[in-house]
Amino acid sequence: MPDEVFPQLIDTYYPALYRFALSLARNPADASDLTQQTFFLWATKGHTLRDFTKVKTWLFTTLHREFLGMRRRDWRQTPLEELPPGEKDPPALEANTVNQMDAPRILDALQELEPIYRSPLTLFYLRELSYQEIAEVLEVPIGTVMSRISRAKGQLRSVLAQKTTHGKIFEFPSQQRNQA
Amino acid sequence: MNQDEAKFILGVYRPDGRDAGEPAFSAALAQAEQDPALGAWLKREMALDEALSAKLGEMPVPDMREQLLAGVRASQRRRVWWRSTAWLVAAAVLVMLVGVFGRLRGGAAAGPVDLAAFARHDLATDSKDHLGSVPGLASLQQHLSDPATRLSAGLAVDLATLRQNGCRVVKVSGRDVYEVCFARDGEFHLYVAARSDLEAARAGLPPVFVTQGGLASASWSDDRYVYVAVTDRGADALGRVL
Repeated sequence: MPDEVFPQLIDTYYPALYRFALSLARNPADASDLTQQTFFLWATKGHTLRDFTKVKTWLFTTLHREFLGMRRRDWRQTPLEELPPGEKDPPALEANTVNQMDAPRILDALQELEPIYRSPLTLFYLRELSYQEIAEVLEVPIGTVMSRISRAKGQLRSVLAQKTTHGKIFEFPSQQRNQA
Repeated sequence: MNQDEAKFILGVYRPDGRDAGEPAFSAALAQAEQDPALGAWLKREMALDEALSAKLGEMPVPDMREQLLAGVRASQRRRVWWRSTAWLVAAAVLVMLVGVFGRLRGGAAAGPVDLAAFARHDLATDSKDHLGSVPGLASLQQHLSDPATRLSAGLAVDLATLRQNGCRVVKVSGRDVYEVCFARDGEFHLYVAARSDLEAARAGLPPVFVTQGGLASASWSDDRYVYVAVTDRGADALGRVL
């Protein structure tokens, strides 16, 4: 694969890869590391990929595997959180309410989900990959992807609903601390 | 399909057409066209998804482009030469010769990659052995901590002086490696070894970044020395000091 492809690959995919990494790793330093490591692996192993149309899937898959590896190596940095079971009828949430929230607050809510739900939902909202590609990245059947996204949406809605009351948005404790 | 089943399927439908080819959606979409309540629910659901998707797309992304490109190009340079079978054979011979030479000298020669791996391991496992501030190295440590200092632009170090001034010395494959700690928005560790002791890459190449186990390292070399900088603050922070 010609070297001039690299800048194009980076320009095209690194923002989405970084956002995916940030939703998984929950902090910018680890997200940067995951993104860098993904491209490093591309530089050293990407030449073995014969089908260039699979580059995007390869990059997301590699980043996801690196995240799983990082979590195995240092589980304390990314603790798994137990969430209550998903509700059949999650709380109603309007698009207008979401529009009033800032992006980091949405990301905070997303990061409260368990990783097995957070990963497919982030890829769903990033809109970079088809369902088939998401299934390849997460290495699960497409039906499982859909089921997890459905459940994740309910969980995200519950988390967001907890952060809003009558359309007013509560401050996060961390934000209050920063302002103090 | 009942309404609950249709909602389950349509709940994961994205309105940008990306999923239009998925057969699971066509029947549910047709049902939503016939059922006004289901259609209204789908409209609200898609508006909410659109808002959430837009918010995620607004998340700021740090400017890592040049850092990523440098890392990729450095790795690519390291890889391309061995695509050739002739070079591969030549390299195998060279490795054998270096191995013999290394054994004659009392230990196998390490390269910058080995040194970087050692440095990350050293930082991860032997934190009590790092000296931190050393009076005899105060001037050098101050220079390294200066935000204006770019490590890869060239450092005025001398291994004999480092040893005289109390620098920590560790052995890697039987060779002396010197470590200096410094702080600059976080803790950093600089490892220096004589180029003649290592299988060093060509001097002047961009630093090679590796991140593993929460530690980031960058290795580079000049005419005299091989350097490895390590930190737990991530590759971004490392890139800023280089």
